[in-house]
Amino acid sequence: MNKHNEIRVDAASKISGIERYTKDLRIKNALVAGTVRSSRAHARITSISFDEKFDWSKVTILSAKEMHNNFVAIIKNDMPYLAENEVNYVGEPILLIAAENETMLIEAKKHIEIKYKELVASTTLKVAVDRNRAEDLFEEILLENGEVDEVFKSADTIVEDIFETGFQEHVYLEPQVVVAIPDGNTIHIKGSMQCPYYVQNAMNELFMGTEVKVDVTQIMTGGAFGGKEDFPSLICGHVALLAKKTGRPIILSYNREEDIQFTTKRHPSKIHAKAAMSSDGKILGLDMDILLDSGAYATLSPVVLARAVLTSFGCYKIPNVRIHGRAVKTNITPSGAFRGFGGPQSLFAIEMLFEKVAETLKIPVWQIKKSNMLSLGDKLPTGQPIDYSYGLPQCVEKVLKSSDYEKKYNELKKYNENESAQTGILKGIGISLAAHGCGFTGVGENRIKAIAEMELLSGGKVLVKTANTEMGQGVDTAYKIIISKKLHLPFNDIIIEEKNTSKVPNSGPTVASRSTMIVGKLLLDNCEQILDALSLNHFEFSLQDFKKAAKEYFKNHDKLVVQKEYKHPNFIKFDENTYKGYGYPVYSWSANVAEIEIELTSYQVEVKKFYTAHDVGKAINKQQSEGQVQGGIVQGIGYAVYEALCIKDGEVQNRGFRDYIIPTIQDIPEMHVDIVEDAYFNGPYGAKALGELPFVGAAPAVASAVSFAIGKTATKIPLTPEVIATLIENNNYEH
Amino acid sequence: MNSMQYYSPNTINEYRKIYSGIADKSILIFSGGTDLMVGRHELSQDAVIIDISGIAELKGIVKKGDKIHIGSCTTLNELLCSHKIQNDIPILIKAIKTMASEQIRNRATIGGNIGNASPAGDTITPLVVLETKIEIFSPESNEVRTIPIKTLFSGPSATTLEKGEIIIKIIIPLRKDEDIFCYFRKIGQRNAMTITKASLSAIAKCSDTKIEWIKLASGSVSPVVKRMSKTEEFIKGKKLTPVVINEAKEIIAKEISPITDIRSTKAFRVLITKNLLKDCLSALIKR
Amino acid sequence: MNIDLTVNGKPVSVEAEPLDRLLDILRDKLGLTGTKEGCGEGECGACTVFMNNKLVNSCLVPAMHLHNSNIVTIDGMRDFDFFKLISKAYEENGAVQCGFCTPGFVMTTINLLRNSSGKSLGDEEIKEAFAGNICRCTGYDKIIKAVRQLLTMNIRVPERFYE
Repeated sequence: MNKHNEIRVDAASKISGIERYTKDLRIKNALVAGTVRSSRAHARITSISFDEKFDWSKVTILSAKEMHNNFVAIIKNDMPYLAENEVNYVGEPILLIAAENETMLIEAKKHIEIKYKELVASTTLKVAVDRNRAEDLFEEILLENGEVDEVFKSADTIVEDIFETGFQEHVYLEPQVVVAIPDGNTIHIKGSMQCPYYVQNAMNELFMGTEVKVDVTQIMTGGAFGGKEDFPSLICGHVALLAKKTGRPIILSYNREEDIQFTTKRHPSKIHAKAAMSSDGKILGLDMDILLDSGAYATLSPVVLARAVLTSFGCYKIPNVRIHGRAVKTNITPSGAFRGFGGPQSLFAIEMLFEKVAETLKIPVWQIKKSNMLSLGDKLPTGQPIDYSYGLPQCVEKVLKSSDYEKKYNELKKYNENESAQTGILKGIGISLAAHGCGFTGVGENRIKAIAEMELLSGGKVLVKTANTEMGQGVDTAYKIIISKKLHLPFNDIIIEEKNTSKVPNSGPTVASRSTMIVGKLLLDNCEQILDALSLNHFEFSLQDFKKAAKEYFKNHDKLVVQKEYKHPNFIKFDENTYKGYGYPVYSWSANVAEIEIELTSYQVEVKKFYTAHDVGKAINKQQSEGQVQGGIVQGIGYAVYEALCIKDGEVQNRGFRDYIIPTIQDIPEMHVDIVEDAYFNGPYGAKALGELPFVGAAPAVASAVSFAIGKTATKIPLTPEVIATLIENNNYEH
Repeated sequence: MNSMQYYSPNTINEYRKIYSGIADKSILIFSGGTDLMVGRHELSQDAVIIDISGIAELKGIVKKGDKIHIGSCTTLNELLCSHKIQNDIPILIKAIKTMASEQIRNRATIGGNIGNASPAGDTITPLVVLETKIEIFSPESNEVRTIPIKTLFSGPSATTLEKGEIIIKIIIPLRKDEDIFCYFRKIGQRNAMTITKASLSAIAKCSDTKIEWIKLASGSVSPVVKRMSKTEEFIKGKKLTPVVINEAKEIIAKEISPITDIRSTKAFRVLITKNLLKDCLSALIKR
Repeated sequence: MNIDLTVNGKPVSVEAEPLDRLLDILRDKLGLTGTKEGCGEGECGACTVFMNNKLVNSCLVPAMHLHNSNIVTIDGMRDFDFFKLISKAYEENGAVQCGFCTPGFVMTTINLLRNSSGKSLGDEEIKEAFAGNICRCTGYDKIIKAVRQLLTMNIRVPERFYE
């Protein structure tokens, strides 16, 4: 077998600046597009006027009135491409402008005036919940198992609190950018995106009943984290419509200010959680009420809520459970997909509930967590047995050892009691256990019916056709490793087809940490199909054998294209009404320990060290797996400590990197990453999900360490200095 | 966009001549541009830009007797790398080290940082405690006037400069007394690339166990950076006991008038300003 | 206004407005797209270039400051021997993910290597040097590893490029 390379196939071109991102494409004769937006959170548009002082013949304006099918096809189809009569959030697109250059665009915008009649707006989640309107409920889920009311009546102790998490912006380094190039009746869309087929489907709906055909190509994407999952469908519609109207190529590129204010965010959450405990620290029942702030439109909220519900019991064995989840409309920029997808919110709640249990019962938190942790063979509240690929116990052992947790736990307790008054520094150590359901929730995968395709080329090379996009996570390299290992081909003989919907089949979106596990497995199956066609034994052949067999094959055949469609193993079933069954085909697991310090002049939480062990089934690329974990941890530290989106009257106040604070290189901890490989039988070489999990466990570990340092359970993130001061000084210092 | 009118004088005299030709127009003085470039689309199209960054007389660091003269267009990195500043004005080095990044410090000028008159301007608090003087050139009178830095500011982003006046020099007196204590600390939102929520600059002189004198300036907690004179007065001549420190904290809290904005709240700014004073005085005791 | 400057060793002449950004001149007028725009306000460092041998954010440099200046961008670094070593270290240490910030990090790396010849730097000093470069993917750890390795290699970076 070859010695397989871990070096990313795109590293060199990115380092030297040769790699072409969307804005680097040189598109001839293109117009630039801009968006005229609502300045109101909820209002009726009463008039739009165009100042006669401006020469409107120089630009093209598009409004909702001219549109054919004015809805962005996502789940509920409730969001228009352009608001027509009513606006539902500050920043909602009302008009589009196409102009020869940026300067003219800015000038034109200054000469448009929109008048409104204000309507009642839900500018906070609380207002929306208090208004209690059925039409504001995008989704409601109830998962029940066992005798919840009974167990709360008879429990020794009931522990409860309200846990809150904030908005989070993705801050992919490359802002949103898409282009549309008209070509007869066809419009070619190119852009920075995760899911070309999501865009394709949205464009099919948009142009349904017209002659317009669309194809979609993903261009190298400078980070996404979920922010380029659902959102690009909206702006691709914008450029496609303008391209159709003007007959010229259109570029729409958001600047950072627009991107921070008006693109989707992580759903804020407010979770009321109650645990019924036995006196010896066993959890007998969990009653949880999950509220997600969906913003003005549903986008992906129903499935985000589904994952929040299915993550809410964490890694614990809980016999009696009631989880009630609601995704609620507010008049704020829509929330959307973001790494973890509802999981980080409810995992924070369950982990901090255990923190509160530990505080209440005066038992060290790691003991409480360990003693309630699932054992192999236990069932989740959905009835799903955890009886394969369960590496969590090993993760816990590893992380307790690498961090020297128990020793430090005792040392730091003594330090805080005896020395912190003198040093002015509180110290803390915290632990979190995290689970991430791999791939789509429930039966999503059977609905998508992902197809991957592989073609044998002359010369014994293979062409790999999937719609799964490279956005920094290393999918192209992972696919090459998977294929190279099976076919014994060097990387150069494995060609990844352009992610263009007219060239590749729909292998599903690049989301839910599914690309390696689901599509990687299909590619492995494709390899076997090719080996069968070439009459090669699946294991015993050399590169020369493969090349020779390929040559032989083409003597008698023109072409060899193999396809494989994904289907879950038969026993993986899920009932969407009762939320019973396999929420996910398998779970990835992590155990995390954070060490923090709080300096009592500034109240800044600094994460000093972070230890983690991740069970990902199999790390296809060790180096890049570690990179995913480290990146996820730092993004999770941002979520836990720094990243506060400030909303006033429904409007995002943050304007850029100066006031949306993400971790810099001087804010990161020393990181220790262990990878555990408890193989998943249906993943390529045993691989399961990786990309999102590192994020999910990070914030609760940090918040647990903060709770240790301040001597009480931290119930909300971000734990900014203002929040910390409020907790320590018993006075309100928050916004 | 019409082409913005723009001039780049090479001498102060040229500046005067250019100014006299356009004195009736709205004028935008441009130096490093690290702030102006961010909001360039909001600048008035009728404004005339005068870029003073090419005026050689406005550059450089010179020691003249018991003073250091800094040209207003000297960049922050030039100051950071200057042995004169490193040796003689360490508090300014401490402050500049916390400012932005090398990329920005290579462009941003000390005159720009002062002239922006932001209460959060990080070079300002050290310059205020150092009792710095600012040399200002008036193109109308063709004269140079010198004012104490603390009288330069009239509000957030507002100065007492008359139209056309430019800051040309920053003159920092060197203290002859040995063993001066100096303190600068800023609290931002993270460790790097951060705008100040609250800061404190101090210089002090102790004898035996008492504080002979102390000069304090708080940043980002008042409309303009100013000396905390009541707090200074209170501390002067006292031995720093816990009771004195606590009392001083209450006095400084009354001297400031912070606001709530996106970066922090009024109450938190009061709290950390008190903490900064305690941190400063504790460091003074340890010495 | 017409501006004469040197970019990556070549004299060029461009027509621009006084407040046009160096970043746009490089990308749109000269086709040098290796330099990226991440934030447009000098905070992220993706647009980092050398101007008269000093590291600057090209999004904050106005055209009117460019006359007779000497600009070197990532697109002008590729052929230098030191660049090849930097590339190798970044590749082998896994310091790249989405890659959008990477050209900026490389420019800062070049500056650090140039300024630190003969000195041994601790992690704190390395981190200080990269304060103006934001990365959202990697968590920075592998970038630091790559830079640490480069600093031990005694790499010669010339005081000036293309002069």
